[in-house]
Amino acid sequence: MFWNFAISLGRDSLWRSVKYGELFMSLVSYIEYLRNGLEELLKSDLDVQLFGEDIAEPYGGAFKVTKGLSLEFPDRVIQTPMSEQGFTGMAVGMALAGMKPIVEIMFGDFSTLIADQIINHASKFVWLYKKPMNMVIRAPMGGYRGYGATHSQSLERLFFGQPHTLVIAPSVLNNPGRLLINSVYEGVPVIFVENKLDYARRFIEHTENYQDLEINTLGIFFPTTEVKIAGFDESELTIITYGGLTQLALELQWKFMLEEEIPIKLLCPSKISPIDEKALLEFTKNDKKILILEEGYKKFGWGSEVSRILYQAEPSRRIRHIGAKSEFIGASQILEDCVLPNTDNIDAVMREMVGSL
Amino acid sequence: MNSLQETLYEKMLLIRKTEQAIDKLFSQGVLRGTVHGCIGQEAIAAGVLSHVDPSIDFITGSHRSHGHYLALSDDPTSLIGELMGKKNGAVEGRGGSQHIRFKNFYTNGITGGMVPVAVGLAYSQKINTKSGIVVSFFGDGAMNEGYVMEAFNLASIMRLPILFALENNGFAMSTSQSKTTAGSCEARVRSFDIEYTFIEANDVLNIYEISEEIISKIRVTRTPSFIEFKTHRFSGHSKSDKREYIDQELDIYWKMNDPLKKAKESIDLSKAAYIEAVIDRRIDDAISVAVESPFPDPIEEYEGEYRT
Repeated sequence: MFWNFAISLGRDSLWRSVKYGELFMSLVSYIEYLRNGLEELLKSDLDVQLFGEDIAEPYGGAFKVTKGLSLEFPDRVIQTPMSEQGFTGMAVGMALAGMKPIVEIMFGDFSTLIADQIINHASKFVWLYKKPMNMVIRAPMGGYRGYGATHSQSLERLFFGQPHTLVIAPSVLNNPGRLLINSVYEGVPVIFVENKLDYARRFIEHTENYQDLEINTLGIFFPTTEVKIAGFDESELTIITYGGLTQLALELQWKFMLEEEIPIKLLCPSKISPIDEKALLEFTKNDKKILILEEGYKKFGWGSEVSRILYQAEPSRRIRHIGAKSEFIGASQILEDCVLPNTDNIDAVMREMVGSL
Repeated sequence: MNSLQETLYEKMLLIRKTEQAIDKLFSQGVLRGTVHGCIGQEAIAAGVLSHVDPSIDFITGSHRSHGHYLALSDDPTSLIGELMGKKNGAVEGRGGSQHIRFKNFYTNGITGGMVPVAVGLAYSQKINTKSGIVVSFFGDGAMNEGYVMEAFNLASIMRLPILFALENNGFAMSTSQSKTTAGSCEARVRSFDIEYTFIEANDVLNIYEISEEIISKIRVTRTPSFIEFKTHRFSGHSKSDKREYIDQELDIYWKMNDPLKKAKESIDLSKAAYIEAVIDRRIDDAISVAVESPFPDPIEEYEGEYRT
């Protein structure tokens, strides 16, 4: 099967696989990669069904990810009532019967509603009844858009550490279409975290400074991606992040190179929970200064777990962690800025860590 | 060759006697955790599940599903082994009383949670032009869970082949339905445009015949239907329950209308004695096998290494 091969994102071998190349070559933005993955799944596997609110024509989903798909697959792109618990429960039943449902939760904030069906049903059945549960919950997360406290959160944290459940997050570095295809065949419920700001962003190889980056990956299905400035073997600082903040980290990495000639390394896993510890430790084995960035709450956050893993492997390292403050995300720009990580406060911590204040 | 009445009586008696044996094992300190017995409700499992094939159809249960399990599997050994946490158990000791499986029959311990799951199973049988149907058992407590109402709506709007089987024993744990449930179950179900039938669950042959008609209709029309069974549980909600909240008169009424007693009256006395002797021996054997079975192997931590 075409998703069943290794792919290196190294510059020279990016499109080594013809089939992968054909599938994604003409695309530019994150949302195009994602929609293409969905279309490919619907074409290649009759057990795949899309469920969600307002996902059919003419609306095509709150973020237009499924735009057009219901015209091509009218019986398989199912527009549901506003019953997140009910239709997510249906997806659990479909997976139990051997189908491969993909559920769109309009805003990831609503995943509080589906937690029972994921935590107490889908993931339990994998273990209790030894049934592969092929199902994906697509959940657009994240803020910076002024949507206020119930439409801006990064609630993937609800599912961190849950056994027999994966939290997968694509980014402009980790092809959302390919990750989605891999998620559908994983045999456990997958919380697929899409960052709202990423939808319109260009994928990495369509950016202007792509030729100046050296990109390496570890892992086949849910790779961890390393981005270095080409020509610099050693970096002064390593940033670890995922999802939507990847773009911000890439911009800061490039800014530090241009303005200060300071090479910074970026590490971006696509498997958020459980953490791929091997890849994390392999990519950071020589790193002395590490900054972990996440959009979700810093306290009890993903970065705290990454810190623990890094610290246990090598206690002498300097590790910092930036995440959202423990307060709700206000609608007003100034209130949102107070809570969510932003370029200015990340920049300041980076300067402090590399010693160029 | 057993007559239909004898077969149904045998199924019910197997459930009753197994539940009684489980109670005894519990008081002897052989079992851990908790159990949810269904003594008094046996006729529903025996009557309805005579019309489904767990290799083709799907059945979902709840925390109180020993009876469904036995009616489908006819295997007290794996049920008792499961309750003892043994490797020979239905799911090798992982599940206990509330989490059991036999072929396409699945249960879970979250009240009402399996009802939307059952609707999804029914969807899989409708769209893939498969021939199976779904029977979903749940109690009156589940009628007040929000996602159960969502499930009724989804099954109706999508016209899915499912029988909702409400086993209404009048009490959600210790809380009387009269204190918790506004309106009536019937009015709620009918408002979703789902066909509704009421059966007092004291006559297994009646349950057998009505559910045969309804299930046959679902197989043809591929649309949902609902049966409310009025029943009574002589078991406590779970092990620690002394049933102080249950009115004596209710117990007396259902003792006189005990479906097992009624089923026994319809068959030959010597045949009934023979059936009882066979079941006693089977349950004794089941306990011996379960006692001898080893405990499960230790498990590893989940690292998400299905694929990396």
